[in-house]
Amino acid sequence: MIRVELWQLLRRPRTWITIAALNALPAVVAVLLALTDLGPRPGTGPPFLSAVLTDGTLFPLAALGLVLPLFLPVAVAVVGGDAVAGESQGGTLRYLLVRPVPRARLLVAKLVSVVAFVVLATLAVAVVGYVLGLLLLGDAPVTGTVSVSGSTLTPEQMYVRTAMTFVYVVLCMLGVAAIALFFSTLTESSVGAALGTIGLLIASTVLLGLDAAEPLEPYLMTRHWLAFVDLFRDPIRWGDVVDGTLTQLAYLVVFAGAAWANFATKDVAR
Amino acid sequence: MVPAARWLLVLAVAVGLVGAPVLVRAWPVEPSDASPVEVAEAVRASAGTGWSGEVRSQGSVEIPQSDATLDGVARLLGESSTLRVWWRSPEEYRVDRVRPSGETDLVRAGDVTLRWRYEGNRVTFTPVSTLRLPDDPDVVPLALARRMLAGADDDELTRLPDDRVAGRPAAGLRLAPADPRSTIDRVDLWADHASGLPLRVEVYADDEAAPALASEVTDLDLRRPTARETALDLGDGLEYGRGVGLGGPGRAGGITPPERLAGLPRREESRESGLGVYGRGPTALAALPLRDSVARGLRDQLRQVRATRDTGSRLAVAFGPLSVVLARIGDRAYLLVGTVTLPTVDRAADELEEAA
Amino acid sequence: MSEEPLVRTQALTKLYRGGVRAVDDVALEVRRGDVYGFLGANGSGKTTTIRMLLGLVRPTSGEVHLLGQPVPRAVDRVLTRVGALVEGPGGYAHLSGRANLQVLDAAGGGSLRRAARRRRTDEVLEHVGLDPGDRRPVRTYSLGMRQRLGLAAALFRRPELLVLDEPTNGLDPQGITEIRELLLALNREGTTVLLSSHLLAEVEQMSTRVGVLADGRLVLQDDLAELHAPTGRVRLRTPDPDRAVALLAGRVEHRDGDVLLVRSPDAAALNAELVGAGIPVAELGPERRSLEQVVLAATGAAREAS
Repeated sequence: MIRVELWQLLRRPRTWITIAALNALPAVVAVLLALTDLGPRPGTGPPFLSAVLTDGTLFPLAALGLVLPLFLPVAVAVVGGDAVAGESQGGTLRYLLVRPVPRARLLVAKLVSVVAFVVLATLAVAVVGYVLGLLLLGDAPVTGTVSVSGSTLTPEQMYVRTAMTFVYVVLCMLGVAAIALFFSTLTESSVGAALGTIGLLIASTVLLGLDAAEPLEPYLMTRHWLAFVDLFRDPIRWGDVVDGTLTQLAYLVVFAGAAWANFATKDVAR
Repeated sequence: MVPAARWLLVLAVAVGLVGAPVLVRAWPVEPSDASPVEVAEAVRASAGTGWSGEVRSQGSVEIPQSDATLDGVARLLGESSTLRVWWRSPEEYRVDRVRPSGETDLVRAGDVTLRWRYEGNRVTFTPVSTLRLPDDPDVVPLALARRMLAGADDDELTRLPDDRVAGRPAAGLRLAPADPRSTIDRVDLWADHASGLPLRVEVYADDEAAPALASEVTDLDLRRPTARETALDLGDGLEYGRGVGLGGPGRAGGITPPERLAGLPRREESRESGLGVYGRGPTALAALPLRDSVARGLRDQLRQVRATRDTGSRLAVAFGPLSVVLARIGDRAYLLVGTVTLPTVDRAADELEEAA
Repeated sequence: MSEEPLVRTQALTKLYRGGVRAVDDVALEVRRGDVYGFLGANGSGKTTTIRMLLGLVRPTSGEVHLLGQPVPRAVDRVLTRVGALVEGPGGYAHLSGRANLQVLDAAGGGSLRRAARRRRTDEVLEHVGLDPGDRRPVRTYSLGMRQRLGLAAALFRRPELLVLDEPTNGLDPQGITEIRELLLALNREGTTVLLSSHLLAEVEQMSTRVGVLADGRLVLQDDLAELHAPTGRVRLRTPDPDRAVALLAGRVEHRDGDVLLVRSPDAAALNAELVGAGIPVAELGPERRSLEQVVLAATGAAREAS
């Protein structure tokens, strides 16, 4: 079933359209930076963007940073929300179940395919970012790259840390994927499931900015998303990255569990 | 499994995941039977402890920000900060202020402090001086507690229930200044049972339920960091700068700081530098001659504050527990600032004027 | 016949939220070799019952045994031997019919090897009258083509039991005939078929056994042969009904113009009697009720009872 789901993911035009759309923003930013040369000067804008001006190999990072807060989670919510509800809408869910595909296995396969989408999409953003950066913004300086803590990172260190960022971004999307999957088992409308997930994400972001919600803060899904910046401090600041990973795993366990609890005996009425 | 059982299972897992950190934090602490004085002694003795970790501080004193001079202080006393700390000794440490997309690193190596700001890729050297505004390292619980406990009388100290801070059992101690001139109601602190290292400090102003300044170690490693760890390893392409001090040496301005000001005794450690720092513990008053350029900026800034009393030669205002007077004495501007009542600072300015 | 029925339900009941009894105390029995016609108006609970048989919907109470195994507990084991078409076809719209079948087969356990799967796909598509070479995506299919594709999916694994919900929906008369022939051929080869329909004629033409659902209750379940069995009356048409009535005295149960219904166990004896009396006989034969009559009677009785 997992193989079939992955194959289905790759064959579906929507997968590739979504990934293309995800890459649009970084591409536009790269072109603008290259053409206008009006990117933020050091000290005035997002530091990664300003560093990128002189070093195109940093652009994958900037691209990941650009899509992480909004576009990537929305894409994951859409794909995850469609996982079960889409089958239900298309009338294929009942045929899968009478094939028979055990319900738990179907859920696992769906979760795996959503995670595969996350990996694929993130990888695409990183690779496209790298190519765009090299083509439009120029090579890495031989002197290395300045870390957030002022030390110089060799290109090798940068590659390792970019790879860690990639893994962390994927981890950050696990919670979103699980929530979307859960909503997808609740409703027969994939749009509804995606919107529900996005609603939760917005709520999480709003609560994060609210002083009164401070006791909730460590539990919020979006709380540690931008902690990947900590990977570029020297020495690496692991605290938030580890907390963020644990939070995502907790969301994954709870919401995948909830999806199972709901779906295992759900009446499939469509 | 029936649906209800599955939901219960999921709920139990969720509660477990949410509750585990809460439970760890609330795990009861074996209380220590140390007396208040013993705890205070342990804190004072911990000054040389080497450690590293993270500190979260939260200030609630609102200071208007419009000028670079008070920027740092306003941020320190009015916002929450996350600091990474590598502490070898009071003269050798590194404190990184961590921001979501950057950081400001401050390294002290003996007599020099070195400040590096990521956004500007700029490094600034400043000689260490008693004459300076509070900075990031000053809110590290270790430094803050030492300052607060300096000169505290034994009968001002009481024990508080022990608590768990950064996962470690810590002995609670309360310092309630007896001096009626103080604007500080009490200072609550918790010190590590094993090392005496202060892990949490809360400074309460009069009539305030929430601390004016709270600082807590959130992550602690009691290994003394190596010299490499406290050093900044800076790359090329930096901009260098010299830090601008607040003022010239006190004597050059004309006034030798008096031995007592507004009834407060002068602090020992301020004698060498010829500066005037008065009072003991949290009851502190500093009188600093300011460079003209600094004074001008500060004056403009204070004038924009509605509450400021402006008598032409003197500007006076209180920000929470912090009383500030900027006075022109002779041909020189003096900043008098302290955690004492505004009348006390006013009186100090009067006395300083008489001395001139 | 002591063999366990392929489908057996006991006191099967489904309550939907709001207290609607969609299915109420249904005891279904489909024996091996049957073509079971499951009749009922739209909304009578047929589809819900079929969903419960397949484990898609949980019964509120009651039991379901499919191929002797309890459902839904053993549903994942037993469904490998069942082919199903549930309330209209469904398919991945962006894939071709072929690809849809292959995905479905690959998804479940015990799927075929690739080459065998390809062969079986061609075979089964041809079987239901679809072109195996057709690469168009399913979204371009007509309802009839989708229906055929759904049938192909149900037939794919050569199931022992076919459960078909309204299998001829959307098909033209020609298609309906084709499908009917196909199902009957499969049945002759040993496949048991349970098909639901709201069309009496369809069921009457195919079934060996009939169950009728009305408002969630099973009001009738019997072999079609039983239902069609002589009623113990003889239908007589005569140009001289008055004399016939006089002759047969109290045995005439009903008269409608020149058609008489006469209680008599033996049509031949009755004929001899009439001819002996010199009464002309235009038509004479044992009375058999049509399925429609039986169903209407049963549903009517159920309505009155409730």
